[in-house]
Amino acid sequence: MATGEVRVPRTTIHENQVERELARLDRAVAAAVADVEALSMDLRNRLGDMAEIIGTYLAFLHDEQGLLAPVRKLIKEEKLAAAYAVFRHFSDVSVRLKGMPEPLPSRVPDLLDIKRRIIGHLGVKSAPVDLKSLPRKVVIVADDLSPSQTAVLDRDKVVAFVTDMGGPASHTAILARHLGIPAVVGLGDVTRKVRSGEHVLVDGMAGEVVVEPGEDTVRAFQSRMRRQTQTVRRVTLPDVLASRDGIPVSLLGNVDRVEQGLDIARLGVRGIGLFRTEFLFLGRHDAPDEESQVDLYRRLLTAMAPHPVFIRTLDFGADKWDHRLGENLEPNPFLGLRAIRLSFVHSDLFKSQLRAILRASLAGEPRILFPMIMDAAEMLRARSYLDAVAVELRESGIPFKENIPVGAMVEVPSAALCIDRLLRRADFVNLGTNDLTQYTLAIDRTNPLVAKHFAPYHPAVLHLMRDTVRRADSMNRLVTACGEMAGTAEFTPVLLGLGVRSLSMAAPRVPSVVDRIRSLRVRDCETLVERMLNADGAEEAREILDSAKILRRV
Amino acid sequence: MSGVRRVVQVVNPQGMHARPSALVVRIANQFRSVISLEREGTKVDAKSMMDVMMLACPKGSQITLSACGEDAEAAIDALAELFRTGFHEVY
Repeated sequence: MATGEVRVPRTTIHENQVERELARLDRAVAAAVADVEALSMDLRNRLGDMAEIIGTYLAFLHDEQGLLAPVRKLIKEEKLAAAYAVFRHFSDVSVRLKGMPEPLPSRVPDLLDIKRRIIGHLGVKSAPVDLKSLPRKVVIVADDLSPSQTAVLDRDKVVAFVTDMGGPASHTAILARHLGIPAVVGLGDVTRKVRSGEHVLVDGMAGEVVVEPGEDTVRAFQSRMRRQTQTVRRVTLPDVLASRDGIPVSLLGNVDRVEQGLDIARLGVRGIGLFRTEFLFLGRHDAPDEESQVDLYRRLLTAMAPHPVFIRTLDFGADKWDHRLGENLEPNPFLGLRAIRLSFVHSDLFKSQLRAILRASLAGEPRILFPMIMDAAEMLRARSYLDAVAVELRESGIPFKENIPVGAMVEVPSAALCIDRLLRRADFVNLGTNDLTQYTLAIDRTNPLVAKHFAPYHPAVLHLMRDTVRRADSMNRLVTACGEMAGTAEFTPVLLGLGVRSLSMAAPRVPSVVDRIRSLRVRDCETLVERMLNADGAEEAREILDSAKILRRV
Repeated sequence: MSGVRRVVQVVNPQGMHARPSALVVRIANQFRSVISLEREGTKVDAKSMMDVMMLACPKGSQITLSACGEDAEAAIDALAELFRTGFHEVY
């Protein structure tokens, strides 16, 4: 939960930069005029008509009263950077024009073109956003935040964010939970409903955003915030975590930074079930060098020793890595070149990461986890790269830990369907509940049109998970659930009922899941899951889950 | 400071769309006087494209031109001529 002022991402300037920005604006406008005049000279020779349109453009570019003076005012009085001031005023004017009768709305494209030209001459390619350095604490309101933008948010300044796009299982939402930033996503039109400078309350748990709240609302909100902080402090992990009927359950942490590993360790969590390594690559223009990777893995392994750290190799796709690897965007990135497939194609990156893991391995207890593994053959192929790297290191006399356990994420349905063969090539498996659900139900969790149908408790997904767990148990292989489902207390009975005995989640989730585990009897959970497996679909499974009386109030 | 006023009519079929507006604005900007267009109680700056465009006068509208300054007469003459010819679209 958080409260703050609404800001659409923008850049502001200091008082002593005002004159400079005004001068920059003048130069940019002059440059835009020169562009248009040059065009005009050329076109007048060819098309009489086009030349007239150019006349319109020039009239706009010279319009002090209607366009330029208001922009200058924004720079002087509101201390906006020139590009944002242009963006703001032109957007306001466009909105006004759109609401008027024809032919005025037809002028909007002209204005937008002029806006783009001026902003282009100010050296900005698109709307100015600098999420990494904001002047004060804000709530961000945007149509969308990509995972890489979310990853670099200045956590001291961004107290919450709210978006039009996305669903509860989108990466942006997951990152928000992970980073402990309150967020509400998938609102559809929140950017139209709030304006910069307005005050909002954001309750990420209830999924509520209150704009310009009254005093009573604010007070009630603040007392809820205080109570929430107290609950989180109350619970820490016991030495042996077990269900009400004495079945032991392991809890591990999902982290992507060393600091989070330390937080997790402080809670008494014994190990990291998922160390996501994509963060090493986000917000950068090149791959991180092997040395920094070695240093990072070493620090994490040391911090968690003697407990295990499951390091997942790069799990990118087009949605997580915006503009690397060339411009050819895939039509179906989720089904495309991502994760392990990308690693095979960019094997230099892959081997560098594997080498770094091996070089750091003596510092603790590493486990290597390959993402998006499709079948046993792919697992073998991935292992062959690791073997090759091991040979290289041995030949160079560089020491590393031998026989590091190597496993696969079970998230592609094919892996679950041929789990038997896969388990012969893997030392352990991790259930990637988010992606397994997406692929099995063919639902894009980032698409607000269908996100509400995303249900990790769907009977089909439950079947796949149960079969995986059963086979793994019979072959004495560890199964750890590490998706959102694992950190969501209301689904803990389902996972326990499926036979999962190892759960990995973000630190803030630990207390509520611990509470839940201790209140449940595993045999009740098994009965529950049997019924859910026979449901017609997600809705029925949900009803069964909601109405089951298996919880003792803690 | 002399003030000059004249009433003119919009005669071209499409009214004051972007092109005529741009023309009015260009001509007005050649003069030093403060020049306004007024229609049905709304008075706008003849030198501002946004202002003039938003007046959106259809064919048949009556517009009052007014100018104030040393070249006010010349400004009004020039603009009135523009309106008379239907912004070069008619005559």
